Amino acid sequence: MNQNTTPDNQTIRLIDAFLQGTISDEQQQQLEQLLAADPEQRQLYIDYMHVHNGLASWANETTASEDWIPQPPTDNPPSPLNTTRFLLILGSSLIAATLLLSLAYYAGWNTRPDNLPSIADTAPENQSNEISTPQTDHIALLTQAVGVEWDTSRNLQAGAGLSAGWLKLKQGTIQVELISGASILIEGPAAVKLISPLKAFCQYGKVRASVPEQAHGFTMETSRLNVVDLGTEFTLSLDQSGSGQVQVIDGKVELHSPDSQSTQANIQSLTTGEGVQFNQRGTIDRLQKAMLPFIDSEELSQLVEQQQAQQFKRWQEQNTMLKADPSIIAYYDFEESSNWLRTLNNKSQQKPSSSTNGAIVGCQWTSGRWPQKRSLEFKRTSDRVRTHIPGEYQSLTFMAWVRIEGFDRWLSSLMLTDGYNPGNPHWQLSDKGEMILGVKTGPGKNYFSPVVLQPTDLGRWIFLVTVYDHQKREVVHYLDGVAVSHHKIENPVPLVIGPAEIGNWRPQEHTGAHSIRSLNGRLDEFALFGRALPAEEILQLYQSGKPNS
Amino acid sequence: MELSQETQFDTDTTMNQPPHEQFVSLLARHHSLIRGFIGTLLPHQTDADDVFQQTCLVLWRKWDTFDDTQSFTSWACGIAFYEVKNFQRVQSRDRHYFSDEILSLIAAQQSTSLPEAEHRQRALQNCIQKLDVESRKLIQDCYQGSHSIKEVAEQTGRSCEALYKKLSRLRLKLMDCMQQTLHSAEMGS
Repeated sequence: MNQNTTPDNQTIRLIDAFLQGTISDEQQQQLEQLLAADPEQRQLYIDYMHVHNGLASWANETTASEDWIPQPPTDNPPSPLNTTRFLLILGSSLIAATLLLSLAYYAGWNTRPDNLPSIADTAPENQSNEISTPQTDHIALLTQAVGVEWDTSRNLQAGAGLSAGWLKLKQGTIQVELISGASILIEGPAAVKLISPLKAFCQYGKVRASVPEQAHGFTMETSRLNVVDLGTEFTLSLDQSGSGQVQVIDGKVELHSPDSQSTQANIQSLTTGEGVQFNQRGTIDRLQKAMLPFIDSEELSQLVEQQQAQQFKRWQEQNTMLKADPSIIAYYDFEESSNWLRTLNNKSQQKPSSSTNGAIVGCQWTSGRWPQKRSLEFKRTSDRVRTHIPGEYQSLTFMAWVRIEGFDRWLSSLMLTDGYNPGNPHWQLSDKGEMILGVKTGPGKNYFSPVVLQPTDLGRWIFLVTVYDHQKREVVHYLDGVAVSHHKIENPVPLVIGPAEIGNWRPQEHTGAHSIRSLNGRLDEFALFGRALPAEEILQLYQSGKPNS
Repeated sequence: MELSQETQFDTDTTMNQPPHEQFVSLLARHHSLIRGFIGTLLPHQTDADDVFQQTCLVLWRKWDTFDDTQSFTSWACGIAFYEVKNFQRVQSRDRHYFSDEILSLIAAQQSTSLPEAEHRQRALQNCIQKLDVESRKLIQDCYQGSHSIKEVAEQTGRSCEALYKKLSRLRLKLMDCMQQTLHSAEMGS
């Protein structure tokens, strides 16, 4: 046995050169002489070649059987200790009222390492399994936002979770629900800092706080005085100089001085209808008349409705254009005439064949981006839309409006071909929040976007586009109209879809791990273009399709 | 060339089958051994694959000359050996191949180790699993055949030279590991 052979062993060096094809005539002679003269050297050669051959068949077998499972670009195998799996399912009650006003995508979430605590650090051992509760430091939820222009680099959208920190608006109105149960309406221009579920600080702006019994003691601080709510509703208006008013709409509040001990002397109580006016010098006077009218929740929701109607109209115009787009292979707008229909029609006027009409399996009809818009809900592992797309395409663009409720498993399907055969694309999401386009070319090649979907993106409508561009030899992933990653295609191949599923996967011969990839969420628009859409067009699609202005 | 006798087990169990089924089941059982044997004679994977395919065809064509008292693997490797020689003869000389004399020596030396092929494969599998993830990934990238070493080097940001060295070290490590595994298995049984 040739134990402990070192890399500088002459025979090995010669064999390596032989394998690499870099061997010289002279070295070749040398190798042959060694092998001819000594059976031990021959055995070394044979053993070494067995490893070489064994590795080749191992590598091919391993890829052949596993390439339908996208391998993440990182080398770390998934484990509960080092992945940022979020299996976060937002309570539906929490998001029921959520009106998804989309502004630009808020990229700030990506760069907060404090949002990803290691489970091992925080949870006792018996809890650290794959589906442990995600850790977030959110103390509130942004439930509505109308006409908002933010004064910060973070462009938040309705539905976003909020950590302690500043909310600064140049204009517009937002509704924030704190996890204590208190809810506040803020009208810009305003600067309000969330401190805890029971405490916020207002630098300036108009605030209307509704405090249910559960959140009694909710305090709105200002530099002059602190307003402690003892139930149920008050307004605070503060200008940038520090002068302002507090008025109780219903219930009772206490005014505390912020800089001294809360002795009985400097606590003032106000009840329904009462109010005070104060300035930066600290003078506090009783209000004689009611303060300026301030928006209430009802008015806000009316505003939201108006905005939605406008946006829905804008989408309808785009919808008409897309139906006529000759490059569109399949266009599902989910606007079927009846809830009983189990066919999801391809609305493209040039549809290649009726097989491109989808067959709905399991999914239930529900509402989409707007109350007027229909969508399909994918919930159970059997829910899917089956379709058959004929043809071969040099370039393809996948587009979907989707509302993900949770990542139930490692992979969630957007559109996957049955099985995974040469030229087949697999468009899916990972539970980390990566967009993935897999293309079967020999061993499958998977193009992973970075982690772009955060827990805060669950429960809101998002716009996903992935372009396979044959000519530019690149794959580009887009979120909400903005490119998030570019990938070079080494060997572009024509894409073939054939039988495929939206929101699920029929694995054919593949069984075992990762064969269940059902989507948990809603889809209300899905398109396949037989060309690579340029960035401007994708941004345009987003602008016309986003749920709110 | 005489390759050693092996147990008659394989041929015994397949004797009652129709001839073509017998062939298919024997080839299915021993293809990796035959492929491995060819691989020791031809350093380039693609060459070895081509010859293996050709060999399978020849085996099928000559199947009625197979005498089922002899060992299937010896018979198959004998044919494979001649296919390798044929292949080398018609190849252009821009690649280095061994002389026929060396080929015969290498082939003959393996006659004693042929029946171990299955154990060897299992041992290699185990040893590969002991490697770190990065090494396994590197082997996969380099050995899969879909990327050249140059491409892998570009992707991983290393030089070709460094990759070749790393691969060589990994092969040696695996060879040692395999031999330890096989050796201790012999001792244990």
